[in-house]
Amino acid sequence: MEIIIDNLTKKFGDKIALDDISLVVGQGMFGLLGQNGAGKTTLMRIITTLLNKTAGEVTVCGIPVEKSGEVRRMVGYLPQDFDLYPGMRVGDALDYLGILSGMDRKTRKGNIQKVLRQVNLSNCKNLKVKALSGGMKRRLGIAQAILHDPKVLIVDEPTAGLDPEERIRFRNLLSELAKDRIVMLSTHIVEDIQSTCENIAILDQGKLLYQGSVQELMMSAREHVFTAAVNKDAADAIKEQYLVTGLTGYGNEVNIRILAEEKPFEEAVVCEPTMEDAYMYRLQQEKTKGKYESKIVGTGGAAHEVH
Amino acid sequence: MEKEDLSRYLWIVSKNFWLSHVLNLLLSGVFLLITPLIFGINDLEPAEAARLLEQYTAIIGIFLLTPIFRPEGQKGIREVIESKYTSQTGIYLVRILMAVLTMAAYILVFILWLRANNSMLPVLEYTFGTFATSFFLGSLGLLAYGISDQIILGYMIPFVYILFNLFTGSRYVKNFYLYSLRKGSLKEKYWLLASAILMVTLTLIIKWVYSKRR
Amino acid sequence: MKFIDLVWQECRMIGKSILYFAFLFVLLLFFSSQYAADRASDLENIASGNRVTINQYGEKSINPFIEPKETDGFYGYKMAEVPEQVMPRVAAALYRECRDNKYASYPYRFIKWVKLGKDKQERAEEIFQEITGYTISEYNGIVKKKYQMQQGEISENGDENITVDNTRFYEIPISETLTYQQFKERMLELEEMIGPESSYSDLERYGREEISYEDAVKEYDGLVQKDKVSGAYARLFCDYMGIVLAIFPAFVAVAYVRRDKRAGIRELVYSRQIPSIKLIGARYLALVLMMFLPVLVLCIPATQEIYSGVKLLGLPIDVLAFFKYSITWLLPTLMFTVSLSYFLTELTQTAIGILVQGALWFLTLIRTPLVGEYEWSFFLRHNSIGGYAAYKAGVNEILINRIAYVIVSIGLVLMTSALLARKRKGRWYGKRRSVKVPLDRQ
Repeated sequence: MEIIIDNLTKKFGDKIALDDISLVVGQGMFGLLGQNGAGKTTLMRIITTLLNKTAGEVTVCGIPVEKSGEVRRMVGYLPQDFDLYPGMRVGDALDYLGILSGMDRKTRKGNIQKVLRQVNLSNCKNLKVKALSGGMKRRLGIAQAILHDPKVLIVDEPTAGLDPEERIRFRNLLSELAKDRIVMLSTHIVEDIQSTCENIAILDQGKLLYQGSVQELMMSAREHVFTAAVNKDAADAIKEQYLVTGLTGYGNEVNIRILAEEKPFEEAVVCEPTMEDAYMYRLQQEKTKGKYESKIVGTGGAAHEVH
Repeated sequence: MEKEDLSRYLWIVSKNFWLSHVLNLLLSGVFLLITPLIFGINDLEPAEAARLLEQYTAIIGIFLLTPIFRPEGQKGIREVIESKYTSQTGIYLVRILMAVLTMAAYILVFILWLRANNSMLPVLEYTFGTFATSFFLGSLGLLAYGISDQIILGYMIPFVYILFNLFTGSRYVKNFYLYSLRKGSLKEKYWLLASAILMVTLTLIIKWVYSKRR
Repeated sequence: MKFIDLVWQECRMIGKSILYFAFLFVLLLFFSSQYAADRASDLENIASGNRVTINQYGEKSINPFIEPKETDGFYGYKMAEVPEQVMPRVAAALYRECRDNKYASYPYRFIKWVKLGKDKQERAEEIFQEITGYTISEYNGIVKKKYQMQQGEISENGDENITVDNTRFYEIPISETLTYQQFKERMLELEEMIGPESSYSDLERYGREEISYEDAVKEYDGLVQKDKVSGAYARLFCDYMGIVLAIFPAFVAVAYVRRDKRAGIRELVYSRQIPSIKLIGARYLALVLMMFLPVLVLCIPATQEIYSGVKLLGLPIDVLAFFKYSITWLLPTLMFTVSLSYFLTELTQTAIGILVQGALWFLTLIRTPLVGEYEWSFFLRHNSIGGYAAYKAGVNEILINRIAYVIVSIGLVLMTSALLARKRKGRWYGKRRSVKVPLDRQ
């Protein structure tokens, strides 16, 4: 059970969205990490046969994506902007999607019960889609994606717009599902990945920057993450010079967290990298190879992008 | 395999009926039912009946056929549906067929109603003629909607064509004239029918191309 | 943000929308195919000096700007009570209405179907027999046979009394012993039975006769000296453009208002600080401006055409006529169309504004005569170069009508802003609702 991506390229006119990507995704939870516009959604849409590729090969469980019908039978997709017909009831909507997936009546009935239970929406069967909250809708999205019992689950930005509690529940649900499937999720939020995925890939502007385990990524950033306690003004100066991934504290004394090849100054102390550090470090490495100009600045927690 | 496909499509028909078709059905039905309030349907002469049918009744084509793509208007819904085994085009075809059959049925029943009210008109000829006009108008709207992805433009374009026909007659549109039944001519109807089928096919192709390119 | 900046921004966005382009296209289409096409041939004729022309369909028409001469021989038609024309046509109308017992009457300019009681209906049938010599059921048979012969179901030789003459179902032959006086007496009877404005009043509309040379000269003087050529053509221009402006702006307005919904930024709009009246006012103004300016632009070639055509004849012309008429006749129509459809869209969050506008437009179109009698129509019709007298008679009507529609339009705009203000406060949906703006949408 594998998704094999071989020298995949996708162009939209002159613009290169995916540049010669080669990747293998096996059973379990796989994370696709990258900033907005990196190409994650494009990749996913090609795997789900929603988009044609320009060059390269992609096979899903041995079937090439050109045979879209067969691939779609095996793949469940939860898109980023997931929505369903607002006036339909949850049960009806799932029934319709089940029909579209080619399921017969008996199977549908059984599976609908089952998936609603799995996503904890059993008592919402008669609610209209428009009456669902953001979190409930996302869960419905998962329900429809697994309804036809696919071997592969592709989830685009699973936790966007969810509150922290729902995020955790969602991650747990996905982990459960990953036990006997390939679950591929894409995100720009590092937290989503670090607790659940064994393997990840990092995309940046269409290129594959990294593929491998989370462990390895973290290892690569060892010896390159430092903390220091400095006063506030010094902190500003440091931000100009180095990549800062964390800033905590109030008033004049602040704790600053820096990524650098070598120890930046005396007071800095080496520390264990977090997933986010490792991610940012990897991106920074690409940048210092002189390829593009955007500057990345991190402040306490989630990564933001500053142009 | 084939039996499963048939069963699947029958289910799709049933689901889509309630999803989108039923409203258009009702709207068109009401539109036809209020005819006597505005025009009078008894004892019409053939020319009068033709006028009523072509200029008013045929409009149901726009109500029935233009909004085919509407349920999946939002990107989120569209992507989910597209990712399923059944092709989007297949679903659209099902809806189009429902719309066209309804159109023909409604027109036939309406003409029989006229006949029952003592209006004199050749049933088959006029059903065919009115249907051609209706189908043409609906497919114009469908094409406009399909290309622009804006349903309001889809409703507007057939309407522009109607006005243009009303005001300049057949001078510019020639064989694509909507109101030829009054003059007893069926020739234009064949042109209208053929172009309607062409436009529907073209629209489906365009939609398919769009989906693969986005 | 300053009001004027807001308006400008909205104008730019409207200008980018595909429906706006469609609107421009329609405007241009109707201008060139309707108005301009006829003008070209009119002006050719002015140049050639012909008052009477025959078009490709064999119909005669008069160019009222060329001085009538005694040698012309033909001066156009006017409505007249010509017994030989009036009686058969009225008889046909009577046949239809009597047969169904459904008589048209227009007490308030809207049609009312009158059903006569037993005695009156019997009298009506009697009248029909007195006029034509047939009873209703006899004539039913005749019509049926006519139809069947046309369809080829029975042969012509079947009955010598019937002749099929190119579906002339609109006239019925009159009994030879009937005088016109007797006919008129019966018409009065019918009118009394049915009600005002029935098919049996204003008999002159069923007939026509030629205008005399003397009358033609009088009309010409009035037209050229008082109205000037430009006025007449400006009215015609407004007639065509009015039909367009009474419906198509609704499509543009509805699509534009709904674009907020499409882009999913409705909640964003609701939480910003701009007062509702400012927002709605700016949008409304932008819509009206963007759709009226092209009309004014079209006035330029229209005026230019008339000017150059008329120069040859040395007739006076008012260069501002088109602009003046556009502002007074067309602008209120546009204002009304936009304000009504905007209001309905904001009220129902659906595109029902188009349906309503369409219905209003359609009903007005079939009700209003081609010239004159402006009353409460929200767009004014004047489909002729002539008709100056009718226009003059209705000038006050027009003024009141136009002012009323401007007031109504402004009222609707105010109502729309009040509606939006309520929605933003969360009261519209019944309970107070705080507006959640999702983090990832900001």
